[in-house]
Amino acid sequence: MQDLIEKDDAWGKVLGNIELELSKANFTTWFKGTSLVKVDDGMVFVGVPNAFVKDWLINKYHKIILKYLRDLSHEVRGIEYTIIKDTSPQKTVEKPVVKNVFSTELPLADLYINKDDNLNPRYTFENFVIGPFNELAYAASQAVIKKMASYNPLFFYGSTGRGKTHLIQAIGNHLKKDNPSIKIFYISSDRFSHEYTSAVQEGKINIFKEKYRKYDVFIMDDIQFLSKKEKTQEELFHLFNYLHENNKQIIFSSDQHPNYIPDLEERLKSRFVSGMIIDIPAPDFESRAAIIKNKAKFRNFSLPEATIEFLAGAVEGNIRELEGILNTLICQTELKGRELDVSEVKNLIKDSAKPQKTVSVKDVIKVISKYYDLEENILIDKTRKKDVVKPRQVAMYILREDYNISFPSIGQKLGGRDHTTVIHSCEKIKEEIKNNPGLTRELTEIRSML
Amino acid sequence: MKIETIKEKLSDAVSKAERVTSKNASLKTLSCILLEAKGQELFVRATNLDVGVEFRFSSKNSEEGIFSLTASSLRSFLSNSKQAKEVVLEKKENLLEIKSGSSVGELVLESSEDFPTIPRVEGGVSFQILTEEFLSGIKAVFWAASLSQIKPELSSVYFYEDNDDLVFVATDSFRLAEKRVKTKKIKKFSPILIPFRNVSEIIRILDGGRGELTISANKNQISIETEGVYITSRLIDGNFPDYKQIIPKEFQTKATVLKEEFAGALKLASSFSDKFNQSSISLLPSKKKLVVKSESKGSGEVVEEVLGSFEGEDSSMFFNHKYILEAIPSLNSSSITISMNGSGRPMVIKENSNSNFLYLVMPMNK
Repeated sequence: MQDLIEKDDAWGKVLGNIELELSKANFTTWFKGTSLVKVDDGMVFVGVPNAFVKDWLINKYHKIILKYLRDLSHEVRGIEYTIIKDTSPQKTVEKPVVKNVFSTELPLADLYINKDDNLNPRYTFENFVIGPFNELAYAASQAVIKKMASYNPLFFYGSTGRGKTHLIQAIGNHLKKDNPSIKIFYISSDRFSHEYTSAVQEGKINIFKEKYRKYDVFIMDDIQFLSKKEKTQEELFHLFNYLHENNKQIIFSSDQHPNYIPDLEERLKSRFVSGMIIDIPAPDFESRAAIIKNKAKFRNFSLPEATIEFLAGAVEGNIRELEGILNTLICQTELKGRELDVSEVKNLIKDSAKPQKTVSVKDVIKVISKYYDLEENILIDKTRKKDVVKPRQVAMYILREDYNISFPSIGQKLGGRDHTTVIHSCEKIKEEIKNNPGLTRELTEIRSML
Repeated sequence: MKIETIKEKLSDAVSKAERVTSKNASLKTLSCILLEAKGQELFVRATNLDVGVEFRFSSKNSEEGIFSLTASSLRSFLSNSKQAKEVVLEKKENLLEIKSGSSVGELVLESSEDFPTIPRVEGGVSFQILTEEFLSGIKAVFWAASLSQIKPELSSVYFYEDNDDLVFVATDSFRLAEKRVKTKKIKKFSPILIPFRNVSEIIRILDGGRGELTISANKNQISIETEGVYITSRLIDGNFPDYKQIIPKEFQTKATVLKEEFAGALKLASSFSDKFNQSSISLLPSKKKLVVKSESKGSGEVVEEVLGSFEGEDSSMFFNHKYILEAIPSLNSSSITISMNGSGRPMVIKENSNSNFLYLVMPMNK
């Protein structure tokens, strides 16, 4: 009987029959939002939205409900009415979304960004994933936490979405926790320059100067936006000197090495590099997987291993993008009410995943010759001029490393050269990368153009 | 069937009952009230399936009977007909004849068969409290509840017992009001969340009443009973935020001022503020004064100073003065204590004489 009742939408049938007997108004008032909760040993449990409906069904409609239930199965002994929350289907769909938006916030803004120091309490070391790619950065942060100004300034650089902001804010939050009396201030360079300009306009430059000189720990994010803002740079220069002289900890982050930030004054550059400079490279596969796991755990969400591996493989470099995809996944899972399989995940992230590189050899050669300001044909020609040889070698290196084209075919495409020549060229560039940071930079720039 | 009763009693019951009928229900019977003559009493019932109410008072009945009619027509007859001490109701077929002094009405009856029952609370706990105490608690906070239905637990009034105190709380996440009412020994019960809309009906019905209330509640339903009145309401089955953690324990700045002066300053400011109701409130221990200032492009600027006693650092923040003015009637002492804790932190207002009422309000960003 159990099967019979639970299968085939038994309650739907009962409702259908009752609807025929009642007026529309009566039916919607009393039966909307009712459902079949369970069947237990002949007792049918009907869920109702509130006590009024419960009372009324018992007093008025109990007999018809029982009659139609018995029509379906003779074993129905009785009906028990229980009040349950939100039985209507549209609400259950709505709920997870609403939850998503609101459950992360506490009322009365107490957990929001602290306005005294601008730090977001969400960024802590507890939820910071350490992998081979950022262990140096982490170690330096810990050193600073143990002994302030042990590296001063501490400068992190790395491409967007590598966790720079998280790291520098975590340092701030940790220092604050250890010693609440320390005056910490976190600001993005953009806001700094904005504050500076408005202070100049309002003639409150002295207040501005004083404000920043009182901090024990000064953290500035995204230094690269200072480029071309000469006056702000000058102000920062003086502030830097003051804080540095007084042994206050200064922490910077940027997306590039200070030497490569365009239009940054030399004196600032040299100051930035005077402490400790740490590059945060792209996270490796294992780190990416760990980050996904960690973020999912933080959101109380479990992901199957296969999905984690797939995501870690599909999305390279940018952690923020990983987080975005994870959000989409969580949202979709809550909407569908079940775990997504890998093919669905694939479909979800089709726009975010790194596209398969299908640049033709011709295009690569074109871009490289353009970058070095050469005629395309010269790369293919037999000339051995030094200014041609290097770009040619770079081309071979990139074709091999990034596009995995076989040595013989690279040789053939670049003017019918022998595969050993190509191997030699690749080796040579690899060797040179180690000694020549300029070359690394050239390679990154070319790669970004491709 | 003939019913004789005191007009004032019937009129009062019907006008209160009319408020809980639903105005645009698909079911006609929900816009009706039910009258039942039983023994030597007349019962008046109404419900909108969220709140249900029943009034009971003595009457002279020729026989027992039950009938239902549109609430609004009965109410307007009772309130507009000739003054009289008594009213006589007589059922004739499907009409109800009412006589009040020289006014006579014949109102159409609806079917009383479909009229819903008013549920009684089964299981759960029940306890007694004085009407005045209950009303003073719930009235002091219910206006602070959220009007939005997105979070049902915030559009509710929360109340619980804490060491023989009854504590009432409401918040809309920008401000929070808490009222403690000292009672005699009270039974332990688990916290109750009553929907805000139902709270205002409950207040209206109980207002002016005296004597003891019997409150019974289970997980889904609450009932409040007093002499001749029975009210029942749906409860919210949710978790109220753990609000105690956001109440600051220490203060940077503290001021004690006269309530009326402070309210006056805010009222003045309110007529000059921008559309966000924004006013700045500065507590200035260094100058021994509180300054309320408000300005708008359209109407200019206004500043008022309030004297009082101060301690701590100077502090100044922007607030929605409407939020603060709303709390003034709930403050029962002539002088109040205002404390601030630096920018971005809530301001706390208390009664100076005791700590029965606490109001927390978040500053605005400017």
